[in-house]
Amino acid sequence: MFEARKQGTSVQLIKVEKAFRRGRQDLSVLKQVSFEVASGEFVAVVGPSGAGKSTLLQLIGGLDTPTAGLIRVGGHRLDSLDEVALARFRLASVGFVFQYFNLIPTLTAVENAALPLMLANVPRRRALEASEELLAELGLTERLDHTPDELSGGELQRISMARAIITKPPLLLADEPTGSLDSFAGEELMRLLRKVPAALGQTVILVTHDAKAAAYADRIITLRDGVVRESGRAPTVFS
Amino acid sequence: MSVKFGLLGILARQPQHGYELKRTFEQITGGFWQLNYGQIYQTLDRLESEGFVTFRVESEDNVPDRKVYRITSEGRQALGAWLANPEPRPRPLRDELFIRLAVMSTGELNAISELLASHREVYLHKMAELTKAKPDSSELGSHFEDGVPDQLIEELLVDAALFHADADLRWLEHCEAKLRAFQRTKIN
Repeated sequence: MFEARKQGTSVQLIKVEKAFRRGRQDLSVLKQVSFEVASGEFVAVVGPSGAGKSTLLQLIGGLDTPTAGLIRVGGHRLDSLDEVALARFRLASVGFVFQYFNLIPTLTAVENAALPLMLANVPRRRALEASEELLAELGLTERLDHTPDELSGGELQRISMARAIITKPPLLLADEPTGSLDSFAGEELMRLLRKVPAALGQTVILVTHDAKAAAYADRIITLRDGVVRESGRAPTVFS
Repeated sequence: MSVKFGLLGILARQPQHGYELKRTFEQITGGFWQLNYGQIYQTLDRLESEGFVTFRVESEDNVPDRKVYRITSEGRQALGAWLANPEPRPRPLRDELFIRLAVMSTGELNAISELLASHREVYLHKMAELTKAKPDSSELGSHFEDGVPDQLIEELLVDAALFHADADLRWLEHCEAKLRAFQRTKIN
C-alpha cells in the first residue's frame, strides 16, 4: 500500500427529508431517512431508479442541503457549516466517483489522478509519484501515460477512483460507478473498491441499482420511494 | 441426463469408485450440485447396462469390497456426442414464487408488493453471500499451461448463480413497477 493507514469516518443521518418544488407541488424525494454507517464500513444503498439514492449521496457529500433532519459526518454537523466550510469539508473529507468519469481529456492518466494533490499544493513531482503508485495498485501500470481517449471504460473508472482517493479522504461516495461498464469491468472495479479503500480505512457509501455491485458491500440498505425499507447484515432479515 | 454425462466425463479422466465420483462431481460443480449415493449408484447401474462403463471389484483386507468404474469406448463416444450437441431446450422456469403470485392475484396489491419486496431481500442477501464466497481468479498466476484451473471454473459457476439471482431481482423490480403503474391507472 502506498502509505500508512488512515482512519475512516462515521456517517449519521437522522430523519433526513428532501423535497423539491415542482410547479405548485412539493415533490418529496426522501422521507425521514435515518441510518448510520460506522467508520471503515462499506455500505451499499440500493433501490429502483427514482428512489432518491443519488439525492441521498449528494446530501451526505455536502453537495446539497436537506429540507429537514440532520446529517453528521465524523464530528461535523453539515448544517452548521457555511458555504466556505462546506467546500473545505468536501475537499478534505470526501472523494466522489460517478457513473461518468469526468476526466480531463488533455491530461494523461497519471496527471488526471494527481490533480487533487496538485490543487492541494503538493509539489508536482511528488503528486505524480503518488499517482503512479496508486494507479499501479489499481492495475494500471501499463496505462500511466495514456490520455482518456485511449483507454477503456473500466480503466477510466479506475483512474477516476484513483483521483477520488488520492488525497485519502476518510469518506468515499460512489454513485452508480459500474453503471457504464460491462459486467466484467464492473466486477474488476468492485473488487478494487472493496479492497483499496478498506486498506486505507476509508468509509465507502455506494449507491447503485446493480445488485451484483451491491453484493460486495458489508451491508445493504434498501431505499424505496424515499423511505429506508430495511438495513440488514447478510441473512439476518430472513432467517 | 446431465448427472449421467457428468459422471461419465469424470470417468473419462480416470477410473473411480462411487464415493470418489460423488466427491469429484460436487467439487467440479463448485458445491452447487449435491448428489446422494442412491443417485450415483442408480446412474452407474444405468451406464453399465448401456455399456458405457464397466467395473472391476477391488478387495482389500478389512474393508468391504468396492467397485471401481471405468469408461468404455462406447461411453467415450456417447460423451463426445453429448458434448458436441447443444442443450435441446432452455432450463425450465419453475419457482414457488410464481405459484404464490398466481394464488395472490385476487388479493390486495399491497400484499403482493410486500411479497415481492421480501423476495427481493432474499435475493440481495443471497448475492452478497455468493460474492463473498467467490474465488478470485484474477490473483491466479499464469503458470497454467494446459486447460483451465478449477478455481476459474468454480468462479464462473458462482457467477452463473449470481447472474440468475440478478435476473430474478430484475424481474421482481419489473413486477413491482408494473403493479404500481396498474395501481395508478386504477386510482386515476
